[in-house]
Amino acid sequence: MNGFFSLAELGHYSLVLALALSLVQATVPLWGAAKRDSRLIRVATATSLAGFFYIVFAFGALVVAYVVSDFSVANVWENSHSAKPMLYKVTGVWGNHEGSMMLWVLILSLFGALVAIFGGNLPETLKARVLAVQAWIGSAFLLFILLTSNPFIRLDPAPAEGQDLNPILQDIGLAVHPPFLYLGYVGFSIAFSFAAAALIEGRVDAAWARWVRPWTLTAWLFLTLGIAMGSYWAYYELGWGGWWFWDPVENASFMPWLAGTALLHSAVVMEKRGALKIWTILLAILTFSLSLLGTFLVRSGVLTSVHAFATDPTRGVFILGILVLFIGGSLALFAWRAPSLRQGGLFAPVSREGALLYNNLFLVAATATVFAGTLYPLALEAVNGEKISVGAPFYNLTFAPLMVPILMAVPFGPMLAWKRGDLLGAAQRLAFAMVAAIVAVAVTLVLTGAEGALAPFGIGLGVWLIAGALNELLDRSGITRGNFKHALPRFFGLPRAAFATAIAHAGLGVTVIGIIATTAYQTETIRSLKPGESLEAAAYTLTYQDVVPRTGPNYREEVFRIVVTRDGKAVTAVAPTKRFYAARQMATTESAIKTFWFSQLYVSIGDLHDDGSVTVRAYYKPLVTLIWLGTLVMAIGGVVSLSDRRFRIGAAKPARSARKGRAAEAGA
Amino acid sequence: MLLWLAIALFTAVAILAVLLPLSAGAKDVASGAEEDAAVYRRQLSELERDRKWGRIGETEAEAARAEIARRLLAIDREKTVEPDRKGDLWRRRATAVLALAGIPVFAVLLYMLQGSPGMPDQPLMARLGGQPDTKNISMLVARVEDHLARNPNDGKGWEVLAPVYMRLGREADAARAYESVIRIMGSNTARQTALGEALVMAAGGVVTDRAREAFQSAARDAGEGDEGAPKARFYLALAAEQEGDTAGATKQLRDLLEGAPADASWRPAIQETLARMEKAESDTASALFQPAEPQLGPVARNSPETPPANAPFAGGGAPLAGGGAPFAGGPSQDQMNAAAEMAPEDRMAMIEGMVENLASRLQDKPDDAEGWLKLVRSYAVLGRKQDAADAARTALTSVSDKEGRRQIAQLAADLRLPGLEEVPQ
Repeated sequence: MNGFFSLAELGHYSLVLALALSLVQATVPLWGAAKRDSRLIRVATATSLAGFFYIVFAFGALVVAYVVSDFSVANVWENSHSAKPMLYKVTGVWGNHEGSMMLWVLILSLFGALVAIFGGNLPETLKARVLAVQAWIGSAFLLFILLTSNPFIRLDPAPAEGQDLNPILQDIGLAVHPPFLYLGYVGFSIAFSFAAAALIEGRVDAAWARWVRPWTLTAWLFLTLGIAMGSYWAYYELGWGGWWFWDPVENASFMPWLAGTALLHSAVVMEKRGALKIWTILLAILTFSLSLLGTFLVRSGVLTSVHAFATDPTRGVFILGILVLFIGGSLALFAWRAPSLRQGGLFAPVSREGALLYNNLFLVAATATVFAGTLYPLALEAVNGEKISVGAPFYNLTFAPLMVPILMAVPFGPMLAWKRGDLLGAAQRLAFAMVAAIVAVAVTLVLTGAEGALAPFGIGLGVWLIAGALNELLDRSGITRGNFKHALPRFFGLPRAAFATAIAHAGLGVTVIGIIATTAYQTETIRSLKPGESLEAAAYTLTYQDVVPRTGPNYREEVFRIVVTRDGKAVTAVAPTKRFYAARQMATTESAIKTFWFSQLYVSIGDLHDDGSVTVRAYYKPLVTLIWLGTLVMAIGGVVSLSDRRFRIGAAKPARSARKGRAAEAGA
Repeated sequence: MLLWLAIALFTAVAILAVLLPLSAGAKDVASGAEEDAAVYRRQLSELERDRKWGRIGETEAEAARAEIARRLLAIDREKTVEPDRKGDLWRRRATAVLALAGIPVFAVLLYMLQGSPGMPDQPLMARLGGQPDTKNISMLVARVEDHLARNPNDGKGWEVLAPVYMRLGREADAARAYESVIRIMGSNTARQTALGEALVMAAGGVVTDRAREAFQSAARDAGEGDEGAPKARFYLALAAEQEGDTAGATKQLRDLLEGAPADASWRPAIQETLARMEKAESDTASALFQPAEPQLGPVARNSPETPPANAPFAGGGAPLAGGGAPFAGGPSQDQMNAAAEMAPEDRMAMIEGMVENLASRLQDKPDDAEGWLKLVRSYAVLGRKQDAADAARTALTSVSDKEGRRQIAQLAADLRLPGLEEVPQ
């Protein structure tokens, strides 16, 4: 044997070794925890760290194969091209089925390793069981990769040039959207593992909720950003100016988000009050199950959309098997063990806990709605082969009405005291927010010429959320009660968790305003233009000048130069393009977007005609960027909450001060 | 060997990850209740610290302390499993065996299932820079491509590469290469012809506008040595045929044959094509008088150069097939047999005569949807698109039956008759 060395082969072996370690990690620590054997328990930490190392190595080997264009690796040949820009060579690693599953297990083992490293103050048996459950998931997916989707299969002789990546995916969006989405999806596996571990253990430790909430929050944060980025990516890349299509793949990420948001709130109740234990465990199972379902929907190829690059049925069946095993297994475990868990504290219906439960019920109902809308067409197609598509009209009728009561209730939640609250008092203290919302409705009605009341109501709802969040902070610093003297120090003395809540809820309001404004007030102009002709989009005039060819690294494109004027004055120029990628023989449309404050002018190119004219689609989207800025604000709220590492005990106000009209909250 | 060394090292580290924790000293594992109590005690001390530093109000601290104390008292002390010390040694041994034997056997077996331990990495740069592997033509092409990417104005390089592309079946790339050759080294008959040919191949046999331009410029530039650019003219004739001008195409080919030297190697090819076109024309003639059938359209265009997309009435003809009988005034079986035996010129004359008959009959009796459909279709098959369009327009104003008008509009749209591409709603 000669002295060569192959990184790709060592990467392959590394992945196999990671599976072997994962299988050890899935069994030995469980045994150790059952027998309270410290040595076996410690195996969990060591194998989880070693396993993480091997998966990182394997992933790195694959990245290197992409970077150096090693077309002897089949996966590289199928999805890369030597002329592709370096960024897309790297992001192309997860721009395909095999590579994206690699990213999935990489993130899964990263989370496992983090628990192993930072779980020092966790009860040992709990930690061992959590890591073991994590390893079950890891083993299942590693086995899936190695048996059905191995990225390290080699080609001999090696082809000279690769087949390039789907041009739609050759975008900065691919660099951030899937990693963030997976950090979210897979992050919920920690909550799941904690839930399963608690069920196996037969008790919910005191440390349980304190651990689960930050992990859930981290996952939620990434999922929020991941979904928002995916939405913005689809918005600018697909050329239709839509930012959400209720596409099954989008729903697949939205369902875990809804359930995860519910979990986040019920985990707060559990951490602070020790109540809703069983419900929280069930939600943790459901949230990760929905993440798995999302993975199944996208990876199995049961859906046909740009995301479904996997169409091999064996893969679908394998993932379905994983799905059934984990969802069925965990629910069975839940049914078996949950009755033996001790129930937590009691609370009155009108209380902080009650409000959070109200939130949970509506979020779960909303999740069920999306679930039905996503899976019903699939089920129908499976039964009688009929293809139907469930789109915006369905969700407008079902999802939107569920959102109204929950959004209206959001500002009330933080205003209520733990254990027993005062709804009327909360309403009185929200007077500022109510006035702000009503003013917003009135202003919107005036500005838009009073066409339709629904949209102004939606804008008012968004303002209600923002003002309500601010209202809560003001209230807690004493301003609304006329206590101005100590207001400022009190305001800055508020726990970071209070700011986190306010920021996240305000972010939700910002997103709502963006959604309503864009949906209700956008303008769309589609016209066929010859050079020199122009069209109007809202207050802007777009004049088509000419088209020039341009050559990119792995594509050629035609750049359509359009001058934008407003009231006769030149404002800017936009240049939407049509690209042609020779390697895949595919064309893409690159829209041009100009942002004016929070609103955007969106221009994309349709068909070219023989007479030299071209179809130009121009949209004016008022406040559209608020949709994504709002999610950013929500995520900032999440970060602030994460930074508050103090213990959280939600004590009911002492009886003697109950009539003073304000909840005493320790730690908050 | 190096690879196997690395594999051995990796395996050893993996085994150690299991063995090391086993070898460390045992310690007591706290029960859940003890752990819970520890958590609450930590919380109490944290609370005390917060209170001292004034991070929390006295009332709040008092409430929180009460809450923590309540939880501390409520700790569930019932479910505690006593540590099992007896099985300690055998559990350790079992785990060690699992690690020492299980991990390497499992990993190597699974790896050998799909791995290729004998294959080195093959980064593209190293392959391009290494010794040329003359057997691998695609590698040679990649090498030249790489060179041309860096020196895009090397016309000679493009000229070498273009025919290789053609042989590899990469016609679009070949066309691009020829374009580069013409851009850098100037146009001449041979290059334009080659470019046109590549474009035709890339388009699946259709002489596209772009290809026709190339052939036209080839024919224009043709000098003494080019023998009058027979290849380009041949393709121009094909282009004419594809546009339905079969008569023009056959005429062009005949001119080409007449001007050709007697010993030209391409004579037989031209003669063959000419024969096929004439046969197609006669098929057209018989097809005209068949009852309308789905194959009616494509019959006239059954040459291999015609892609399906160019046969618009393949589908459009089908719904019109309703009436099975030959239209009134059409030829009888005898006439058709006679037509089949005629010389091509005579046959054309006979067909055109019959079409004229039909046209004049419809002028007298215009409210006849079936008749107009026949006439439009006949004109189209004969390549007289303008006549077909005029007939369709007349028909649309003179047929009283709504369904008939719809059919005519549909046919006109399917045939892409000038000005009638859209079906009016």
